[in-house]
Amino acid sequence: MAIRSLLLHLDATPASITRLAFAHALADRFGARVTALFGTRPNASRVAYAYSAGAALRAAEEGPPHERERARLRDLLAGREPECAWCEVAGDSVRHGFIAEAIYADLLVLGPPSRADDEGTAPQGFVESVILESGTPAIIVPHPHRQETIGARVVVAWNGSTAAARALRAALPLLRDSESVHIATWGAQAPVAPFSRLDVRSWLRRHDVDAELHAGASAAHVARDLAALARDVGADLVVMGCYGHSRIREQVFGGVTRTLLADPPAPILATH
Amino acid sequence: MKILIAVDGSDYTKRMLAYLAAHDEWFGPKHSYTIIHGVLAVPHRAAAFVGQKVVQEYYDSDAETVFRPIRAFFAQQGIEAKFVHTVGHVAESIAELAEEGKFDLVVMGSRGNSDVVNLVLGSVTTKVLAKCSVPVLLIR
Repeated sequence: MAIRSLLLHLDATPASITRLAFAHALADRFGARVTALFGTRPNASRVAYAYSAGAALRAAEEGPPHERERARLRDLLAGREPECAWCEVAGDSVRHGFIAEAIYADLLVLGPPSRADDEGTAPQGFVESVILESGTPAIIVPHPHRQETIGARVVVAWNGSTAAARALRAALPLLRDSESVHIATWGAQAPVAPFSRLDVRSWLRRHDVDAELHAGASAAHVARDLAALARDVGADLVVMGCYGHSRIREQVFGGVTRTLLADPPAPILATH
Repeated sequence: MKILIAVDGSDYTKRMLAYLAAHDEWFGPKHSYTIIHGVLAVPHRAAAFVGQKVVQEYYDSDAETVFRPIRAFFAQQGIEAKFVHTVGHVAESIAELAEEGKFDLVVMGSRGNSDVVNLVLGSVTTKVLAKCSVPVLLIR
């Protein structure tokens, strides 16, 4: 599928700047349009002190929370060609608003999962719910993000599952221009189609993508091995399916995704 | 002692500060502290897209995000500290400031996520150790 519609999440942290540039580089490459949605978590300290007169005065002087960051991002997007849509959603509706908007996107560009004590980011669990509930592939751009290229050297986590296949399919437009694609598998045998015996390399060949296979012996340290492989080959994109249960928001991702996202070696294209 | 503390806002930094706070010999008003954070440079295409002014603001606010809880930590302990941030070449900046500022000690947390020796320390730590003649206290 072609990538024509990108939905970008922006918040009041510095990471938004590199994410914005990342989304625009992708949009340029695929002739896609960007919709930027600005949304942060409700500011806890403002709520806590809202009853004191001094705080109320200060809040009035400061204007809406994160006004400076918001204005800066808006200025950056104003007057761009092609035009970029700017949307905002406040407080508790960030998650629902973004997921509803994601239905009309081919690819999401998100920041790293936020922690409990972060300020100016999306609410905790935002990234996790968006990936699990929207069904739209998402690229999680780490902070700091340093790679100059996007998808020139790709590492694919491959276990032959539906989620992994969905992620790989979503990554195909990026893989067509890659210098190198590295497929990491684990266990005694690389997964193949049960009847035709088609494997992931032959499948990618049909899409004119040449890939190198890296077979990991043991599945004991998948996240660690993946990160090491990504660093070794200088990967600028990691493609993986992820598992999870949206009911338990704090622990939605499986171990591999969670470990990798805690210290991502490169942007991660993930689907559920 | 004149102590240079390298921070990066990760959990390793938190662990390091917790260790320092629990050890009087390293932490108290008898020492003077400088906190350094090496902000990583944004990709060139990102810098070209947003412009130099925004990139500079990005570096400042990125550093402030890392410094904010550390400022609070030092204020709470009633100890003064100086905060500096540099852009790019993190290990080189730490080693350079340690030498030029005539520090007696560099304190840093260590990343590292593997059994493989040179991954245990993390690349910044390894480089600081290689480039720096000032003693380094590593907290893992």
